[in-house]
This record gives sequence, C-alpha cells and structure tokens, in this order.
Amino acid sequence: MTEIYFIISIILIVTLFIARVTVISHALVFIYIGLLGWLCVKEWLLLDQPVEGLLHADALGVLFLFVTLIITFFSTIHYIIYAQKRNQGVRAIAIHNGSFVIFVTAISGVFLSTHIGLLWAFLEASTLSGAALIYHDRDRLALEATWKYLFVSSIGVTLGFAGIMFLSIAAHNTPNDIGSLIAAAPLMNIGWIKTSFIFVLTGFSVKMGVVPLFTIDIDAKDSSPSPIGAMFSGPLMSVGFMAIYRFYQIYSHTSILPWMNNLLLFTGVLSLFLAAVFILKTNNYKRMLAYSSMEHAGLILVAFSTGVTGYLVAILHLTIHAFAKAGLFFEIGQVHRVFSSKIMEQCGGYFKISPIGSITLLAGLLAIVAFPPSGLFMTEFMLFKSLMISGEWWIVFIVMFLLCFFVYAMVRNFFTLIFIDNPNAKIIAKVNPLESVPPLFLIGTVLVVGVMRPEFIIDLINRAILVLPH
Amino acid sequence: MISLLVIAFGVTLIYLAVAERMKTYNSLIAVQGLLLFFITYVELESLDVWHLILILMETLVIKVIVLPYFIHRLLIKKGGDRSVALVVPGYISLTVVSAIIFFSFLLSYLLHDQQIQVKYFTGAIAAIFTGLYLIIVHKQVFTHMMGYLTIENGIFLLSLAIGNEMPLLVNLAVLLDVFSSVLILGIFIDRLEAFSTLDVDQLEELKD
Repeated sequence: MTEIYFIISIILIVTLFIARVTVISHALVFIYIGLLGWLCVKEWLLLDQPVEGLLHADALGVLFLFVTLIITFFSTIHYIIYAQKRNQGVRAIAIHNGSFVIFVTAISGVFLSTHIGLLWAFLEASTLSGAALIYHDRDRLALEATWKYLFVSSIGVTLGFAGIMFLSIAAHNTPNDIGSLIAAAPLMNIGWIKTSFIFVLTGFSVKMGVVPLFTIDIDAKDSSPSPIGAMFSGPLMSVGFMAIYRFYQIYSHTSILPWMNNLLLFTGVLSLFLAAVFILKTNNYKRMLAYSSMEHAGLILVAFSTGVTGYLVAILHLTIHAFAKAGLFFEIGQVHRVFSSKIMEQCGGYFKISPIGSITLLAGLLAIVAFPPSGLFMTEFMLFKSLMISGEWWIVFIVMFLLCFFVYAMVRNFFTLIFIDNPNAKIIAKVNPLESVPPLFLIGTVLVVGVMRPEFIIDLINRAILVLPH
Repeated sequence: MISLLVIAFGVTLIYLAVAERMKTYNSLIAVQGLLLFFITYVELESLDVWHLILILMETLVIKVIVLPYFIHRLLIKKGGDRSVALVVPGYISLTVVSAIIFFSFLLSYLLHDQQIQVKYFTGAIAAIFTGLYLIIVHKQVFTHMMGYLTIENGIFLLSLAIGNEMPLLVNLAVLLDVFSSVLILGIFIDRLEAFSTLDVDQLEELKD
C-alpha cells in the first residue's frame, strides 16, 4: 500500500517539472498534500498491525508524518504568496514545486523506513532536493549557501553511512532492518557500536542542526525562502532526530546506554552554548531564528539524554517547536518583503505597518522563549523537573544560564523590530493582514497546547518510547 | 591478486596527495573506480545477475566512465586542464597520506575482528581519511569534490570489507543517491565558476 504513495509521488514530481502553468503546478502540490494526508491516516490506522516490508511507520514515524503534513500545507500556501509577490517565473515555480515534493517525499521516506540502509538513501535524497530549494533565488548568496549545504551535508551523510557500516560489522550477518538489529543488539561488539554512534551523531548532526556540522544549516535557513526555512526548522530537524534516534533505539539495548546519554548531553550543551554566542552577535532576523532552532535542538538532546523521563519531553518539545518556528519563519518572511531586508538595522516600526503581523510576532516570541502558556514552557518545565529529581543541578544551572541569552536576544530584537521606529527602514511593500493568519494559527496552537494537554501526541510518543529500555 | 589491487588502490591515494593538475585528479578517481570493479569482481564469486549488473553500473559505468567524462567536460568548458593551488607542500601531504595508510593498516591488523577483511578495511579507512585530508588542506571546490569522491570510494571498499549485503532496492537507492549527488555537485561547480569563485576563500559572504 505504501508503495502506491511513492509511485503516485514520482508521477506527480515528473508532471511538476514538466508543467508550465502556475495554477496547475500549485494544484498538483495540493494533490500531493492530499496524498500525504492519506498516507498519515493509513499509517496511523495500521499502527498496531504487523506489516511486512521495508516501509512502515512506527508511532514516532506517524507523529512526524502528521507534523510534516501540517507544515507542508502552510509552507505551500506561503510559497504561493512568495512567488506571487516576487513575480517568480513559471520555470522557477516548476523547479521549486518539483524539488519541494521530492524533498517532502524523501522526508516521509525517512519516517517510514524500517531498514537502516533505506533510511540513509532517503536522507541523502532530502539533501539533494533541499539544495535545489535553497538555490531558489539564484543569487550569489543562495549559490554560496547551496554549495556549502550540498557539500558539507554530503560529507555528513557519508560519514553517517560509515556509521551504518560499523553497525553492520557489529551486527555480523544480521539483516539491517531495525527489528532484527534490536534483537541482535545485546550481542554486539561495544567498540564497534560506540564508533558507529560517534559517526552517526557527527554525520546526521547536519540534519538536526547541532554541533558539529551546524553552520551550513544556519546558512541554509537564512538563504532559502522563508517557507523553506520553516520546513528546515520543523520536518527536517525531525528527520535528523529520527536518524539519530534509530541508532539510539538499537544501541539502547546494550551497555553503552549511559555513554550515549553522556555524548548526547555533551552535544546538546555545546550546541546551546554556541547558539547562545552567535544569537547575540547576529544582526539578521532569519539567522536569529536559525540559531534559536539550534538552541531548541540542543535542548532536545539534553532532554533525551536524561533517559526515561526525558524521552517524552524531548519528542514533545521537537513537535511543538516545529509549529512555533514555522509560524515565526512565515511571519519573518512578510517582514522581509515589507522592508526588502532581513538585516536588523534596516527594519523597524513594524507595528504601524502590520498590527496583526506584529501580534503574531509577539505571540511567536512568547511561544519560542517558552513563556507561559507556551507548550514549550510545559516541556522545558518538565525537563528541569526531571533534571532536578535526578540531582543534575549543574546541568540545570548551565542550561538555565544559557537560555537567558536567548530570551534576551529574542526579546530585544523582536521589540526593536515591532516598536522602535527606524529612519533607515524603507517600506517597500505592504502586506495583507490575512497573510498573518496561517502563522497566527500555528503559533496559537503552540499556546493552546500549553494549556490543554495534547493527548493524541502524548499517546503516540508513549507508544513510540515503549521500545526503549525503562 | 586481491592484494595487488588493494595496493594499487593505496598507490592512487599517495598519488592524489601530490597531484598538481586537475586532470590528474580526475584520472586517479577513474582508476580507483576501475580497481574497485576488479576487486569486487574477484571478491564476489557467487553473484546473481542483478547484483552483477548493479556493481557494473556503480563501478564501471558510473565511477569509471560517466563521472570522469562529466568532470572532463566541465574542465574543458572552463578552459582545459589547470593546476590546483597546493596550500600544503607536496612532500608534507605525501608524508601525511603515507602515515594515514600505515596507521589504517595498523588499526585493521590490531582489530582482529572475524567480520572484517583486513586488506579492504585498510584501503577503506585510508581512503576515507585521505579524502578528509584533501578537503581540509585544499582551498578549491574542485579538489574538495575530489576529496568527497575519494571518501565515497572508501565507503564502497568498506562495504566490501564487511560483506553484509543489503537488499537490491536499498543498493539501487544508494547508487542513485551517490550518482546524483556527484552530478549535482558538478553542476554547482559549474555555477560557482560563473561567479569566478573556485576558491573557497571567496565563499564567505554568509556570516554573522
């Protein structure tokens, strides 16, 4: 059944590259989104049934598929606005839409793969199609970002493949599907699986946007159109997490579990630290959002490293963050259009230009800095609680200290943009208040989730983490 | 026979460390592809038709013919063969790559794992680290891509060293990805030259 999804996707992709009528091109993307919706529901209904084959989502895969579906839908709407306002040619739209559908198909492939090799292949496909999306504006900066993304990402994903090879050595002749590997895990050689995990974490850090290969992820989010920045901060970060999680899932049944947790903790804290340094320095709104994503990715790793209590927190945080950040990227896209700049010195007084847009930004600010009632407040509260219960006071202190820098930088920069008039800010275009509705909806969801427990999401996460040792 | 082929593969790595012309890099990568084909052919005795076709595609067709031809065309388009800017003197690179090969051998020998074949494992690890070394010490996007291809060849050899076969579908997907990644990297090298930025030092506009 899942094969049908891929076959129809391929047909749609080919048609999208050929189609030279803008309306048809956009309509085809919506047909694809409908197909993705069908896949999400189908996989959700089949969750408890044993399914043979290489492509079948577990509970975590289903959750991430739903997140991808929602953000893809809003991203498509915003891209239509983006293309209209910038008078994009029909060829540029065709290339974008074709690459976009390949990108989302590759992402969904990662969530569906039950075979480590196939997961890698989809991951690499997401890199290649992602490069075409970053190159959308075809200027010098886009070219630089694309080259760096393509090259470093390819190196990263190749190192990840070496990690798979080391896993194969440790697993002897066990087939590389996740179920068989989990069963064979207790007999694996410790040295090989440690090496494998280091390679995997290094290589796939490029997708999650954490240390060490985070830089190109920042450049990509900055140089690509805002709707793509939203995809990179949400679904693609989930892809990176999923890739690392699959190996964690296998190795957690061995004695290296505490060692892996320490490594994740170290990576998370270092990512937080570097993001804190850079977010204070940057004068570009999109880069600020990108560093904020890095901060949250670091927090997710810290939460995950705390073990049983942290698994739920980490995945919930990842899910909620995807919505909040997508909303902010969409709204910053409008700011970029109004001032024809994303540089802080060239923007200001946004409240007078777009009151609804400003309210969206303020709501987004509350959501992203984890101020109550943000859903991220709930997850961060749970994280600190679990750290305190386990007596990890020094981590609580370091993380809280670093978070202060993010709150300061984000509040300062957003308030300057919204409330301070800037004589250097030139208003190039006007925005329709309706354009702020989708980001407001996404950010509103994040705020509502902080008050009302998202049972559907929590149930899926609880089912997913059942396979991890308790 | 296999030992000779792996040694020849090691020699290409040493040659890569001191090569000065772009064409030489391209030829060396093609020779590596050819050696990989022979190694695979000799190693995998009981092959079914599909796997044989796939390996032929990956090594002979893609690594030996298509990619080197594509890069060759790119070089001609950009004014023919040129010398690469060596940031580190050749003799130092020679020493480093020799040391990489030596330590790769030492590592493989000391591991004593029944699952791996020492010869291939040595070649694979040496190629991966030589590729990374080439990327670190060179400042041109062309040589960076050559470093990436060397790493790819190392990974191919690593999969031989392990001998754990993946399903045909997965192999096909991996092959398609590797092929398209190099092709797309090539296309972007072409674009970068349009901006006359073959040197990575000129790619630093994106910063805070």
